[in-house]
Amino acid sequence: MAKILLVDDDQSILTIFETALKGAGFDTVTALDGKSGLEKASTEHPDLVLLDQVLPDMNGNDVLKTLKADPALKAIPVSLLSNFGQNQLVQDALSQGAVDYILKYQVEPADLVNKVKEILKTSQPAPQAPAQPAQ
Amino acid sequence: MSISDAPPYYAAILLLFSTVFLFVKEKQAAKKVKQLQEDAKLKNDFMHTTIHELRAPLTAIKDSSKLIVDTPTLDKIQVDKLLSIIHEQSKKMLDQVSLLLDAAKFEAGKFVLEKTQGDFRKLVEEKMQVFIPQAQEKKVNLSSDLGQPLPLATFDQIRMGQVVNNLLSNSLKYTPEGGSITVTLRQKTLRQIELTVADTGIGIPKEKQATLFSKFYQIQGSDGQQRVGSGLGLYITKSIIEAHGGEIFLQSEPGKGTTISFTLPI
Repeated sequence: MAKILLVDDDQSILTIFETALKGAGFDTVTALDGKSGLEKASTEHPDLVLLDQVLPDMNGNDVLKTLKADPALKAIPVSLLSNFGQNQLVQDALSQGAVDYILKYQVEPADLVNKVKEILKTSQPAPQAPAQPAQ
Repeated sequence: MSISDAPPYYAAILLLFSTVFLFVKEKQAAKKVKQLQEDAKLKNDFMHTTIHELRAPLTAIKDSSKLIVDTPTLDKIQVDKLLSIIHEQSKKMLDQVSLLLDAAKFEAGKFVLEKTQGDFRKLVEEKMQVFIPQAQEKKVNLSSDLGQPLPLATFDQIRMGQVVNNLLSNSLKYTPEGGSITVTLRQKTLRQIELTVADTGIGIPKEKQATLFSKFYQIQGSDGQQRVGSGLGLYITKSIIEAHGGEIFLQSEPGKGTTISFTLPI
């Protein structure tokens, strides 16, 4: 089953979303700040990163930027998951390669699970075209 | 003599004075408008952050309760964890509302202390006990040197408890895993005791230290957009300390940590 990395400085939020995702059969890994989020992204090889915008050491968009600048990590889909949804933050995140920007207060845990399934489905690499036989 | 009879240079002087007067008035008005705009922006940002501060725990309460109701497969441990979240987050909301009310009381000059004689060292010990499990969970080393028993002091037990809570809570919030918080209590002078909370947390940039205890100060994210906390906690902390006749001091270096100490008359 897919592995989801949750990065959020609020332990309550981590517990809630971990419970929902594990209940739906996902594996989860958590990090409480940007630095350990980046470390876990590289050691745990998650299939998706759900990233809070406000973290104690750096903001979510900076974590996203660092992930996307790393050739080994840039293919991992990242969605912001925050209560802060100012237009500029959303635009910056999407232009830096975030696949989605989910507002915590707008989704129920079950909605989040569905969003995760949707993102994983659309983020899967397209199947390779069979090689053409040499003429 | 009418103006029309006055020599021409009189009119020139009059015109010059009028121009200077209007220029000064205009400058003053522009300054006032700028100040009002800055105040309005601060208040707007403050309101925005306060709403966020209330919305975040509300979201956690909504999601925890929804999970409990909708997921019959949850075991008892999971349900208990979610119920604890509902309790903690409700408390967080209540605390935030209390801060807002306190700030309004300070603004209106209606904040009243209820001082009694008490053991300040005991109060610090009690407050630290509350933070030990949280520090352990976050893998932050919380230690103390509370020294010798101190003379009794006269203070508002609830308000001073709030001050100690706020300082410990901030340190724990901004100290990453593996860091440490040290609490030291000593008799500074014959008439003063001093409590110091030193952490190895993320620290506060120098340019922000001067406004840290202002009413609408908020710790900004590196993009200058985001804010953590309503900024009222430290404003109220300072106000309570000063209402007791004490002083608050700050030393901080980004990436190394923050030390906040305050004095209390005895």
